[in-house]
Amino acid sequence: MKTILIPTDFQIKSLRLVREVLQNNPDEELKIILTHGIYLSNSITDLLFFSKSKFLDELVTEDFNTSCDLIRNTYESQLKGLFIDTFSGLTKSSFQNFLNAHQIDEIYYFDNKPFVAYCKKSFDLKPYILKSKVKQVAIKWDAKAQSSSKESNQLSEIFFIHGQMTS
Amino acid sequence: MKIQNKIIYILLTLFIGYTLLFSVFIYYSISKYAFTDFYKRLEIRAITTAKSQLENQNDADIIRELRQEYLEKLQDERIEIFKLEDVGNAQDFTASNDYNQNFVEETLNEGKATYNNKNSFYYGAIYTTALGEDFLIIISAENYFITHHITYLRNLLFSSLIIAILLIFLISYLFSRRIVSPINNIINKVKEIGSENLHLRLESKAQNSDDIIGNLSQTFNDMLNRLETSFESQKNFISNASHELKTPLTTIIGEADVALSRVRQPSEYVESLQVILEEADKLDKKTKALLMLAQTGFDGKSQKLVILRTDQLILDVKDTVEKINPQSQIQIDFSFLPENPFMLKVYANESLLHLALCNIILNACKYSDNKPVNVGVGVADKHVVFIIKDQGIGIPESEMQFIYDPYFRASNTKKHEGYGIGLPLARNIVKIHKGQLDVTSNVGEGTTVKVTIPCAKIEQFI
Repeated sequence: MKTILIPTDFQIKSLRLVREVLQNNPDEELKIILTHGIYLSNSITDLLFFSKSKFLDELVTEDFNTSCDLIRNTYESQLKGLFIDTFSGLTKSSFQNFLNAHQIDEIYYFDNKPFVAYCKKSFDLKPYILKSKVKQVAIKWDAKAQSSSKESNQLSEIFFIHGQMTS
Repeated sequence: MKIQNKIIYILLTLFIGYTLLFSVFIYYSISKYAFTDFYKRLEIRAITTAKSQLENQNDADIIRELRQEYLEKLQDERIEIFKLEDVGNAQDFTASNDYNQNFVEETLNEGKATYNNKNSFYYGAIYTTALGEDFLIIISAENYFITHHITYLRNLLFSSLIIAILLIFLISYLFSRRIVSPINNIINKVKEIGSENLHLRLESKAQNSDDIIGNLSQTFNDMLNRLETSFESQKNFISNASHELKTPLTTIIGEADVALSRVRQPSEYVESLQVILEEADKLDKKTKALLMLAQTGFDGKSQKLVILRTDQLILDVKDTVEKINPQSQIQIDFSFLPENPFMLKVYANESLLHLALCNIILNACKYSDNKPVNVGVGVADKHVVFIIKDQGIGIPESEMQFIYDPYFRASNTKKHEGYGIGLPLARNIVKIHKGQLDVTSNVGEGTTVKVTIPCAKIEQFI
C-alpha cells in the first residue's frame, strides 16, 4: 500500500488529480491525504479552543465532501482511505516531519497550476513539496479543460472531464 | 361547541372543583379542631377548679394561684360543683337546673361528657377527691373562636375562591387560545390552497416527531405534494403532447397535401408515402413514450415504492427522451459508478422518477437547441447524485427564485414552446422521494441540475 499526499485548494476540479493518481496506479492500494496549507491563528485563546474537525468543517464545502464520497465509492477496493488534512508549519523541516508522520511515499501535484488562495490564510505548498525528500510526481494541469469563465466550484465539475462534446 | 370553549369549560370545572374540595376540607378540619381544643380547655378549668375548691388547703392555694396566673378567663365561664349524693338521678337534677338531660345522664354514666348548645359549650365530669367523695362538675363557656374566627375563615375561603375562579378563567382562556391558535393557523392556510394554487405549502418548523402540530402540517404538505404531482403529471402530458405531436403531424399533413395536389408518377407517391410512414412511425413512438410517462397512477396499481437501479433508470430515461426528441444528444458519464452496485439502488416509484428525470433532460435538450447534454450518475455518502448539465440559454439570476412556481417561464424562453410545468413537477417528485433538486445556472452558458435521492440501504439481493 502506498500513501500519497496531494496538495489541494478545495476546488472540486483539483480532485481530478486524485482520479489521475488512482488511474495511474491501478494495481496498487492507495491511501491519499489531501493537504491544504493554511496558517493558524496566532492568538493563544484561539489555539486553546482549536478543533481540527470543526476547522475543516468550516473550510470544506458540501459539494467537495460529496465529490470525495463519489471518489471513495467509485474506487472502493483500490482506495484505502481519502483524508483531508491541513499543514500549518512554517519551515521545510516541519513539512518533512509532517510527511514522516503520515508515512508519505509519494507526492503528486499539478505542475503548472497557478496557486489560488482558497481563503486569506491559505498558502502554497508547492515550494515545500519541491524541497522535500519524498518522491514527487508532477502531473500536467490541463489549462484548456479549465476554460470555464466562472469559477463555480460545483459538483458537476468533477463529472464530464473527458472533453465535453461540442456541437 | 368551539373547541376553545370546551377546553375552557373543562379546565374551569376541574380547577374549581379541586379548589372547592380543598376549601371545604380546610373549613371542616379547622372547625373540628376548634371543638376538641375548646373541650380540652374546659376540662383543664374544671379539674383545677375542683382541685382548688375541694382538696386540702395547701395544694389548693398553689393550684388557685397557677390558675389565676396562667389560665385566662373564658367568655361567659360558669362552673358549678355538685355533690354526687345531692344530684340523685339525672331527670330530677335537670328539672332544677337548665342543663340538657342527656348530657347529665352521660356524665353520670361515663364519668365525663361534652355538649354544646349553639355557642355555649358544656363539659361535665365526676371528680373524686383524696377523701373519696365524688362531685359532679359542670363547666360552661362561650367558644369565642367558633363565633368569630371561624366566620372570618369562611369569608376568607369564599373570597379566595372567587379570586381563584377569576384567575383560573383567565389562565384557561389564555391556555386554550395558545393550544388552538396553531390549529387555526393551519386551517386558515389550508383554506387558501385551492386547485389553482396547489404549489402553496404550510410552514412546518419542527422536524422532530414529538411536535404533533408540526407533524400535522408536514403530513398536509406531503399530501399536497402527491396531489400536486398527480395534477401536474396530467398537465405535463398535455403540454408535452401538444408540443411534440404537432411537428410530425404537420409533416404528414403537408406531405399528403403536396402529393394529392395533382396527379403524379407512382415513384413520387411511393416517396411521399415513405415520408409519411416514417413520420407516422415517429409519431407512434412519441405517443407511446408520452403515454408511458403519463400513465402514472392510471394503471390501477397502487403507487408503490420499489427498489430501482439508478444506472438502468438513466438508460431507460435516455431511451425515452430519444424517442420523444430524436435530435437530442445525451452523453452519460458513468465514470463515477461505485464499485459496489448495491449502492446504486434507490427506493423509488419508477414511473414517477422516470417522469421527473425525463422532464429535466427534455428541458435541457429543448433549451439548448439540442446541443449535447451531459448526464452524470454517482453515489456519494448516502445519496445517489444525478447531474444534468446543458449548454443552453440558462436562467437569469433574478428569476431563479420563481423557477419552481407552476406556469412560470423565464423571460428568455420566448422562442421555446412550453408551459412551465416540467420543473415544478420534477421537484415535487424528488420531494416525494425525500431527495433534493438544485438548479444552478449562468445565462448563456447553461444550466446544471443536481438531483439527489437517498440510497436504499441494501447490502444484497432481496
